[in-house]
Amino acid sequence: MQQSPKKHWRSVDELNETPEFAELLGKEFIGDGFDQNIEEIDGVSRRRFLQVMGASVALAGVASCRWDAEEIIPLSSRPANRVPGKAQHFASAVEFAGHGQGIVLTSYDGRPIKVEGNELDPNSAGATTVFAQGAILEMYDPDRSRSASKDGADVGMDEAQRYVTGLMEGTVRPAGGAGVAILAEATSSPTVGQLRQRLQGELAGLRWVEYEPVSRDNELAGARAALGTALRPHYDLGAARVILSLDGDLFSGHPAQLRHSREWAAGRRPVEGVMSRIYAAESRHTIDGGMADHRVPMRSGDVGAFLALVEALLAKEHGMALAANGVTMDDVPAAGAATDAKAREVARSLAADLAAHTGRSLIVAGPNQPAEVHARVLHLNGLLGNLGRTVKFTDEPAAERPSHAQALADLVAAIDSGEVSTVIVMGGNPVYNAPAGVDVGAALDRCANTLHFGLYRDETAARCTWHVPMAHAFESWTDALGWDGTHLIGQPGIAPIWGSVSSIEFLQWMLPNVTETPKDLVMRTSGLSGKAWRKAVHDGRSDGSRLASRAASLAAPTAFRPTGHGEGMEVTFAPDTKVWDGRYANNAWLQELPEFMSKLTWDNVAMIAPSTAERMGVTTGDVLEIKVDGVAQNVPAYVMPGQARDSVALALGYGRTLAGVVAGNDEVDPVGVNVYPLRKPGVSQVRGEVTKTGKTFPLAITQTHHLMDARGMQGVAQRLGALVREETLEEFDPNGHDHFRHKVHHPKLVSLWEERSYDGYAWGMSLDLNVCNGCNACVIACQSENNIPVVGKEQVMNGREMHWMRLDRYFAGEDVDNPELATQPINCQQCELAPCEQVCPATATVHSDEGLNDMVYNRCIGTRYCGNNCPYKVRRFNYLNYRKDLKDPNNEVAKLALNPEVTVRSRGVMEKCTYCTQRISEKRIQAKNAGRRIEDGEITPACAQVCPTEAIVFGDKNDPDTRVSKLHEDPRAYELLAELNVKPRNNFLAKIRNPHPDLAPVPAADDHHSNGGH
Amino acid sequence: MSSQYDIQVVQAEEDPTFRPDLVMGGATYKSIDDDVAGVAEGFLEKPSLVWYAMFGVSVSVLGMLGAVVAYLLYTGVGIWGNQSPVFWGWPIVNFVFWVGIAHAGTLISAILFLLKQDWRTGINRFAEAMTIFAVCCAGLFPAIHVGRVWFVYFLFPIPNQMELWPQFRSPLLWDVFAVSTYATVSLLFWYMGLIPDLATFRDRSRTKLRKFLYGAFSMGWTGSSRHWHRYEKAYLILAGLATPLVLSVHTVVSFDFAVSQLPGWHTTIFPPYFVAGAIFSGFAMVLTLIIPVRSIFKLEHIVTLRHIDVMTKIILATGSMVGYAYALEFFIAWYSGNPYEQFAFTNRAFGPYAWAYWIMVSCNVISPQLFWFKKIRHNIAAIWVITIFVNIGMWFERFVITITSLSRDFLPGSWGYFSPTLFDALTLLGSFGLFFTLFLLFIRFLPIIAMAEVKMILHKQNTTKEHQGGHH
Repeated sequence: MQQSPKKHWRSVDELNETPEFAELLGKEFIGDGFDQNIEEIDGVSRRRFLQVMGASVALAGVASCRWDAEEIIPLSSRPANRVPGKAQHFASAVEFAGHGQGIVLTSYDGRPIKVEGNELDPNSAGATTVFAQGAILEMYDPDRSRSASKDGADVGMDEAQRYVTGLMEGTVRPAGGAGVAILAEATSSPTVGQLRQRLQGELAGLRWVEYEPVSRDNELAGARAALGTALRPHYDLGAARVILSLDGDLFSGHPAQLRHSREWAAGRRPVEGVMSRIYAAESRHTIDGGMADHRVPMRSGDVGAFLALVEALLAKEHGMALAANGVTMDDVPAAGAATDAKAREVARSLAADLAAHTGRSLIVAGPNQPAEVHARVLHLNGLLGNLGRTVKFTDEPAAERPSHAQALADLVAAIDSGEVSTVIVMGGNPVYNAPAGVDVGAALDRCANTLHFGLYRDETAARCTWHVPMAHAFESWTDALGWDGTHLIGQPGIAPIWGSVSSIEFLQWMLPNVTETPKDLVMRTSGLSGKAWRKAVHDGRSDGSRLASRAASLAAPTAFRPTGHGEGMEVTFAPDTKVWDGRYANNAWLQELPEFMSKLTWDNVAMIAPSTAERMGVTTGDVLEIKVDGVAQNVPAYVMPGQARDSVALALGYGRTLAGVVAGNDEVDPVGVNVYPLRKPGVSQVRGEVTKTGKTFPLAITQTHHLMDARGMQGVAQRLGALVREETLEEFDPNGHDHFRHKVHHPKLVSLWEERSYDGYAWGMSLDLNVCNGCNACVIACQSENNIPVVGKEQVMNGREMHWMRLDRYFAGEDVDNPELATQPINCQQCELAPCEQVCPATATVHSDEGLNDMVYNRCIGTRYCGNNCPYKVRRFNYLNYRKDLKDPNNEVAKLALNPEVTVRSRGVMEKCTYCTQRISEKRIQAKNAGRRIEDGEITPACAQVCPTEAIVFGDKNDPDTRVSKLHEDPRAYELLAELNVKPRNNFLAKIRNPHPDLAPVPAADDHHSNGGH
Repeated sequence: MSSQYDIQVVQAEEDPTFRPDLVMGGATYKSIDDDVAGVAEGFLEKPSLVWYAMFGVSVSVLGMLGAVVAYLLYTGVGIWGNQSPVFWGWPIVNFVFWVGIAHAGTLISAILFLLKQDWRTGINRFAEAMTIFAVCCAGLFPAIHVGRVWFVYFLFPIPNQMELWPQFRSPLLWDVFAVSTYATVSLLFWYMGLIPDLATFRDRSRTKLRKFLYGAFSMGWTGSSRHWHRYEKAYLILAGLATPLVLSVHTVVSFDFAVSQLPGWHTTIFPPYFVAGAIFSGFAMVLTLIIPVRSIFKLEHIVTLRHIDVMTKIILATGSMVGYAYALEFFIAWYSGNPYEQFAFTNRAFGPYAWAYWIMVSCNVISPQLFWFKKIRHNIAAIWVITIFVNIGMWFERFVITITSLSRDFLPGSWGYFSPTLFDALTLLGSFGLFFTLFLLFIRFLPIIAMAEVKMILHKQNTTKEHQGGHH
């Protein structure tokens, strides 16, 4: 293996100052005073930018890319396939909480700047999650650990390696591994798995403990109970016509969430007559519930009772009963909102739907539900004939593993009893995220030898004697298994920036006999070689690799007698949709991302139902004391319409104390509140006491809908039907033409100016409200692609967030405790008669001949008149220099994450969505050189590229055969605020709901007239 | 604050055919010179502690403004509360407020001159000076309010090698022309009127420096009939030029709002409504300033209660117009059937900024209605308090128009709530520092009453009296 580079450098500046580098670039580039002055104004000047780019080229050379060994000499001839400034794309893989996701890295001059989904990965199929999007910033995070350390003092990597080998030879091997534990985060990497087996084979006494604070252990236990063995269920949401999600996480958090989203969207095509119906029973908002046609909010502890109700109704009204131990109506407990009259009404329709769709229905339960609910769900899916159809099974790689909570508790007990005295923590942050009553920190303090191996010097690193920095997934050869078992090959996009080592290399320190390079190890795992291997690396996955499918046979059902939560408040815990279990807490993109329902940034909150809040006299921002078993934490309240009554939803992952400058460290106060101390091992919902403290806490919320005065609410209700146009499937006429366009009446529109004609391309976009589920991936993709700055909590509170793409979330309906939800993605509509252009006195925003509303940063003086005149309020202004942080020498590395194709904006200029004009230009040049027109689908803006449901489609409106042209002719198409005669290039496709006919609200008599326009 | 000069005004109320004198106290040409020039000359003999104290405060506040602007230029407009969707905040409110105040001067000088309203002579110099200073304050805001001040010259049609021109469709550009034209003409008009008085100052100067400076600025005025002939011609032409500007400048300022398509801004009523509001606020500001000045410098016989009475009536008239405009906006919003427009107005009155709306209505519509009462029109203290209310109300009018409309436009997903910062308040305060510094310097060095014009009135008044044979 090519050794890690010997030279460590703290910043690109430091590298710049080396004589070789100075020579390389020419003296005048270094320490040039004039240059510095320019930077004062512009943040990153072009010259500076070239320096950084140059540095990264040098980086690739100096630090040695591990494909080839290279000398530190200027290139006298250009190597093949390397054109400076031209993007290259490499397939790779990244793990998300122990499950692989196939990705493609976009790389400029040896510097990855953007993550895309890998179209060849059957799970992602080209889409990504917000977490994968954020991974690029994580890699360049200046707070990442930059060197090994002992007792907090930096030491060289070689010294750390000597310590590990010494420990192995001196203590561990002689004892056969007894007294030694490796506490690792979950990983699906088969190569790591093999090294682990080898290590355990050599050292019989070694304990390998896997811990994840958020896991699917309940699902595994349920499968064991119902099937005898733990098999992994795979859902076919495209085939399912009726779906019941019980506290589910199908679209947010599930390892296969991208596949679920894609298949669900494929089943929601009203024009083609394909339309599934989703029911959701849940305590907190999930995307499952948000997209449901019927959602019944109920405490998580009552969900089992609801399931019992459904089962009893199936038996009573449709004669579908389990062979043994079935639930009858008498067995259904009274469990609040889960079994009240409203819930019964929904359950009756649901049972009828399920009975009518045997083999084409699906019931799923989320990880917060106990094993018995999971087991019952499998039995009912069996009863409904869904097994093998909408629910298929494969082997579960983690079938034999004890539950994560149990494993960690056992390890702590073993340390306490003196059985274990050497602990090596491989990834994860158990000191921070261990459940209540499991004091990992104190246990580590008691150990004789402790070592932490991770990306950051976090809370766990602080409690260990030694720390070794871990290489990021993009810096090392890795592999991983997708949820379906696809073997994903992760090639590095860059050599380790800080000279850190990957998990594979770290394990090699303990296994001196394994001398192959990580690349060779991964290759051996894949079983491929030569051309097939090169293809697998290129594709990012090994062809045809899958987990073996299994036919499931259900054991006899046991009695199912859920009692419900009973009286009192319930407290539920779930991973945050942005920072997950806390591992992404130091990612500023994710911290500033508005949470999909609450639109909250930079904090976690206790979500409570409006009726509960009213009873307690609490409003959003009031601090609540939440007490579970004597442990109390103060968490600000957030009154969330649709949250279950008497249930408090808490998000994990906040209150980090040693995460970094973003989420909190020695100098920066933690972002949010750590609620792990309230969370009991293996239990996701508990009984708790919730009291008002009388204190308040400021929250940065980007959309203040629910805090609105009566007048504002009235205004929203009045216009909502015109903004988010929707119908039920029954009302919808798939052959209608311009039906939704005519929902708002207006007189004939006449332009004040002579309208332009567009002879070449006319770019347009279509956004499908029916399948946009609010997953937020587009927001971060846009931020990553377009160098959009993060502004911080105070600026967000002041309404200055910079996202070019935002997801407006609206509630509708009378019942604040159970409103209907609509999500509307809003970016620049690229109006043909753009109101912004007409009012700019400096001619800084002008129209291109392809219909783009161009923003000329150089010409913008920042009158902000355009922002005032934009009816969609998509323009964002740099009120301050939001790139100031890049001047900090410590943050030099963060500059590497910038997209060189997009200008970094200075203070005082306006910016907005450009339809990713840099991507358009790239393809335009290619097409022009080839003497052809740009083909449909050739250009994909960043938002469209990551969308798992393909809700966003981009293309040329001039060509009637493009997808976007056809979608603009879709019966559901309409333009937003068309009555203003701005002629937006964006079309929305109306939302079609599919309520059960028995439950459908009576349509108001011709209500669309009340939504009138001008 | 009643004085012996008020008797005639009281008499006039009883006898509608009686017109009180515009200059009282048996003034002669010399006594007018002594009284008016005495204000500035008085400082030479006996430095006024009050003046120095006020000047000290004003200059300090101006210095603070300088510091705030320096910090602003260094840091960015983010030091203010502006945000999204409220891209325009207090700076634009302040701009429109000051431009509005700048209206009274030219109105008094030009329109009343053309209409031969003799009573204007007592106050026109004063009002014109106020206009110039208010334009200075107004002009400051658009300049420092842009994001990149160092490129503010992009707003001017300067020929350049890139052949890039400003956007002539943008009302902001019209603003640049309207305000700069207005500032130029107002300044010329003011200076023009000052020339004979500066010559008087020159002739009365006892120090060489003063003699030289006043001499230079009076441009060789000797008072010959040829000079007077040219002077009166030029003054008439300038008055004719300035008259349309009085109407145009605030019309164009209102276009900044009316030409956009934001609900609450996009209304055709804005030009007349803005002009009426501007005159309203301008007269209120003139009264706010002149009431203490006439009392301190004993000029009650030149700026008489009759002048004040006339001005309160103008305030009453324009205040009622403004109130009518407020009512009509609501009517049109309802009548248009445009739901966004309807919401914008009900939101003003009953939404989160209702407090600002009702402050505006109380100050602008209700308080001037008190001027229906003779007792109040003759109570200097009450008038002064009411004019302060009008000033406050007119600031809030601009706040309501600018900020409530922006805070809630079309898509509720982007609605917001604007909160000002300390720097917003300091910038507003600082603009008053600039205004009062200039104003105090004006009192200190220039004739605050148009002596030459008052003398003409005095002449007219005396000859009329002779003809009437001393009827009184």
